[in-house]
Amino acid sequence: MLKTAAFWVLDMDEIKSYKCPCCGAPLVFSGEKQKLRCGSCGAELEADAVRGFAEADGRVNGASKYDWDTYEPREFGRTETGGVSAYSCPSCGAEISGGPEMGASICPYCGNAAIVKRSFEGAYMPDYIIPFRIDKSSAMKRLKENAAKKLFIPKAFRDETRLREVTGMYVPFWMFDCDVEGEAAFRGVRTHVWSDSRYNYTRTDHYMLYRSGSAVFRNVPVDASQKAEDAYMDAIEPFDCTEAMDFDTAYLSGYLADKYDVSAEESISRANERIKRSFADMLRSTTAGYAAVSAGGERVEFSNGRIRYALMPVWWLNVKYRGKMYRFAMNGQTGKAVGDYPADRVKLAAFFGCTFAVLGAAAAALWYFI
Amino acid sequence: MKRSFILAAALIMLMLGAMQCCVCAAPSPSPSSASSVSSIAVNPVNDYAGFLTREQSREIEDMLGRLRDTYAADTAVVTVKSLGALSAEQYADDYYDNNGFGIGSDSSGILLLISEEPRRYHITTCGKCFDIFSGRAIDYMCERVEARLRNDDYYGACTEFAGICAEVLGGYAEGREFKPPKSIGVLFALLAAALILAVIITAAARSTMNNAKRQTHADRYAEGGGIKLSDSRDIFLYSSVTRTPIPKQTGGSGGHGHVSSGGRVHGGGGGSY
Repeated sequence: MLKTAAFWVLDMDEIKSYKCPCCGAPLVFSGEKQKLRCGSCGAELEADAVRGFAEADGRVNGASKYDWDTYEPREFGRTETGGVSAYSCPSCGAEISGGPEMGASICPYCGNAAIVKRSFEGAYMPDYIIPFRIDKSSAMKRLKENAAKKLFIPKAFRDETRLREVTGMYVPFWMFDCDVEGEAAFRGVRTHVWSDSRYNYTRTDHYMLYRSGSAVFRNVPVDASQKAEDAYMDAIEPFDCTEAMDFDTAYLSGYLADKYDVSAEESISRANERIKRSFADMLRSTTAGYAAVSAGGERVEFSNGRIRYALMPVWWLNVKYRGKMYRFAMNGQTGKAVGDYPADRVKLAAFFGCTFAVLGAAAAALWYFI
Repeated sequence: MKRSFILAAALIMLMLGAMQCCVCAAPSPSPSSASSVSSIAVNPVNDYAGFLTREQSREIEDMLGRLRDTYAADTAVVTVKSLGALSAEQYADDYYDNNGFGIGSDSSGILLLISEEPRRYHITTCGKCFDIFSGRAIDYMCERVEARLRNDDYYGACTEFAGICAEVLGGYAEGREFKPPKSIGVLFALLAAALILAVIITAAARSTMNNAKRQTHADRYAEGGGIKLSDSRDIFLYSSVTRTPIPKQTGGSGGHGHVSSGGRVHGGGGGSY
């Protein structure tokens, strides 16, 4: 008869019971085997392994902490706003500013050509700015080249007349710096396969992989304008912050500039999410050598969190094609362009037809020869 | 007068004896009771289970008899009410070995056994038919025969068997390897898979027209090449072992032969219906 007793460990004056890492049922100590056994799934574990698993599991499933300084906005001084004009778009409601020499401009967000000049107010001074390096002619050339590379782009869309109205605008971003410490647990399996005359056998060894470490993140951008869609602003990353300059209205000369309408506090959750996910993936990248690895919880602690307000250079292009507005954005520093390009239905149909013809012929050949 | 009557009687008895040997060496329903002599024509249809009408039996006999005459290979059908303690394969092999089937020194032939209870069937091959009826031919034959048996169409199963035997033996005589007819259904399934794949590839190519995608990570903003590990532990928890039976080879005489209780090498295949 198997002698069993509940497995209890005295730890810091506290009595703990342990649960099966496989199914979560209580573990029972088998005196005969000197192991803990799960009555539910039958798994047998060494006491040290159970203790290590429970400790790591408790740690990684603790609450994460995100420590960010509160951002204090800085008002523009009188001298700093002297050369700045403000505009509003009656079509989409965008509130943008620009240098004094800006003549008739096109709204970069909706393509409306009748933006209205008004008094400058309500904007806060950025901490730094990355100036434009790509000029307008280069931007147009790159956008055209980019469009030409697209497989299904309609010929009419590539006409120069459609791709000429690009607008340069500084887009507000919140930039996040922080130090991260954290830990994560993963479940890893290794398999060993062998056979005898009657059966194929597979032994699966289950591991808990515990990792902890630290990393430093600098200048993680989160766009601070509701009208600048996150997908576009994320896709034109990265900006090279080594070229960042202290803000001066002189950099606005010839360009528009948006002001933030998403607060730093509202943007923190996106920064947290991106940094935490990257940190967890970095820990996961250290778990090589297993047939399969799955996440088992993670916990992070952010410290020295700092938030700054910055303006980033972006070229905007809005093209109306067959009644639909297509928007494109280009990183004004690196020239990286993104957008939603229209697709020519005839080209799409031809591509589908050719693909099906090739695959269908391969399928028919397979059927005939096998 | 008396002398000539005795001579005539002896001649008639001799002729009857010869007819018995050459035309209808009747086998026994028991797989092991009768002894055999190769190359003597044995009744090719033995319907002990009573699945066939007299006309149907005669028709199948004619078909199988023509095959024997044309290709010098025995083709036979036997139906039984039960298998006793034997498997369908053992029963078919023993019945073939012990009832005089097979032509030539290697006893070439093929036999279809159908059992009423249990509902099983088996096709056994021997001699040169072991090589002629390849694995693909046996598999195809099993598929077609089994489809008929599932509907209790015993006559249909026997005619399918005879028809495929004729096809395989005829092809062998002309130096062609038997290839089962292509299934149009399989072609349509492959084309449907190609269509789905073409739709997926086109959708993937179409998605490249929009490259404005949200970022979920911030890896490129990590300084110093990423993470510095402070602790790394791989804790072994437990092992689990699973086992699955190795599938047995079924059907097909091509290279998957076995030795019957009579010491002959047989091939073939079968199943239940």
